[in-house]
Amino acid sequence: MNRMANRAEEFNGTKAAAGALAEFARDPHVADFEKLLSDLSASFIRVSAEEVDAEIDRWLQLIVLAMNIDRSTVVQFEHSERTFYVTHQWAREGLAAPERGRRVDDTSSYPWLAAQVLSGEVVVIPRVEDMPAEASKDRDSFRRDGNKSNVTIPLRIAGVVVGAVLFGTLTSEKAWTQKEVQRLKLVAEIFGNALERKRVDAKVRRLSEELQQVSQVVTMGELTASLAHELNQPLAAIRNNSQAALELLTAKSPDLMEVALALEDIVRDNTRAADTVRSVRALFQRGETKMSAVDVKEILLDVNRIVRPDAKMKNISMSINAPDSLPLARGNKTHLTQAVLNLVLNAFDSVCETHGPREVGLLAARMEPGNVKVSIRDSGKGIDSKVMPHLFEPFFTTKPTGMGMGLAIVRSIVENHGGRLWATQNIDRGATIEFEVPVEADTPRTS
Amino acid sequence: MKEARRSGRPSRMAKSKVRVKKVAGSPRPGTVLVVDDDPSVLRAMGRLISASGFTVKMFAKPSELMASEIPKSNACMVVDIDLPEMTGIEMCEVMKTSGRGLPAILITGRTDNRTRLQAAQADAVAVLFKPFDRVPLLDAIGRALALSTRD
Repeated sequence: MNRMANRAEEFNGTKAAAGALAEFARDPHVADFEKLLSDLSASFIRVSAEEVDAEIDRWLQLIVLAMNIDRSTVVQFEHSERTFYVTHQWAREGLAAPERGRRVDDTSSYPWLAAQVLSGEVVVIPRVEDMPAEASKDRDSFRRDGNKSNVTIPLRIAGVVVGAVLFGTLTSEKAWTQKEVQRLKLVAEIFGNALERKRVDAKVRRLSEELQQVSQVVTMGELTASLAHELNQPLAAIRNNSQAALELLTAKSPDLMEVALALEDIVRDNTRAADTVRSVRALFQRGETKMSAVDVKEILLDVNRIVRPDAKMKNISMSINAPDSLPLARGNKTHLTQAVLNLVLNAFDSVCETHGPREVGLLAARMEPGNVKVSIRDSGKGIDSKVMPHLFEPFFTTKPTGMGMGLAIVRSIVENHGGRLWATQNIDRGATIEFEVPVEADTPRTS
Repeated sequence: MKEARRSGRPSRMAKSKVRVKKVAGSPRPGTVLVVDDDPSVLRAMGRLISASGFTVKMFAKPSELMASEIPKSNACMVVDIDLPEMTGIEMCEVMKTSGRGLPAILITGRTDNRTRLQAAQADAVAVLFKPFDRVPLLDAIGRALALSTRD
């Protein structure tokens, strides 16, 4: 009975798991282990990819307590290094547990076991002392690690053995029944599926990141002419002013005041060129994913600076409306700039397809509770009701040369910020696309 | 180009819409009308051309230039292509059809093919891409003024 109390004490996992354990403590029967397995299965269906690791840790603990064993460990194989790493583990208090991230060299510590597991075999060792002669190195390692008995089950992801799940006793030997081993195989299978989901999720995330990079390059290509113009202007002024100053200084009595004015203009144009470079850098920073406090008004001004020459060439009049009291948003500046830029370029395309006035307005406002809203309003052709439901879908485009990625990327950026994105048809003409992102928590509230 | 280095002593810029720089001492014959909607680029060119001894008139947009008194001879224009109201090329054509045309040097901050093509097809003494040097600018002004005087 004492042992049961210990279990409950040692356990501090989820409510669902606690319920399962409490039930098991009341009636430690085989049937309850079945219940535990179904809870395990259900629980892994619910958890998100980011929670998989923590959930595996929790269940390792629960299984150790439920089966009355001492330690459980997940190791994963690193093919390039031919090495196992401990990725998850749990052991009863006071008992040795391998540290997470510890390297377990398969060739020197557990060569026999590693070979068995990698060929897909389940290895049941009721008594470490009875291990076969060819496993003498493994036996020594088990002894060193304090194992008295052990079950090792291959861990498969998408059918390939990527590691193993180990269950062991350290205080006494254990006769593992066929049924217990069957259940543990099921546990390893559930872990494998969950880890596969995590891996797929990471892959999708990486691909979407790469897609965003590609789209940035495409945008860069579209903007090259505009940016060249934006830099050539101050460069031209700087050169002409420098040469004018040199010329002025060759006079018998140089007009030093005019030279000073030329130099002042040079400094101002230098700042102007540097601002353009800074705006572009903010837009094309690679792999920068961290969230911080972001000034949304600054983003609107940056985007405006970048597209200004383009707007001028296309006869589009732009307006920016953002209150100075706008709170900082919580976000990634590069990504949000990219999102606003995509929406603005989209609005440009739309207004150029009409014969009416070409107007694009950028607005930012505080929204309750705790959001910053950005609106891009255009006087363009509007959004067809048939198009509206698909507007933010990837590869959906109404443009003959479009990739259909612009708005899909905006959506993925906004969703990564925990925000939302929507489009509305304007009452007079054109459409407005808007998104909301949360304000930075530290921003003082203005009432 | 040596003679272009003759000293010029432009006064501080006037605040009026149409800014005129008179060259003191021995004025180099010739008036240059400059139009560019980028105030900083306009000031810099005014300073440079004026310091090189020419009389300079500066304008921010086509309507300002066309509303001003256009010299009949010994004058030329330095015209930005990318202007409000109309392009610099269009402005030159409008002036020409109304009999007030002047030899023009086109300047632009754009480098795209469309702009290059438009500029190449326009009736201009020279096309200069920003940022350009003093030497080709003064060289083109010299040629434009020569054309203007011959007319």
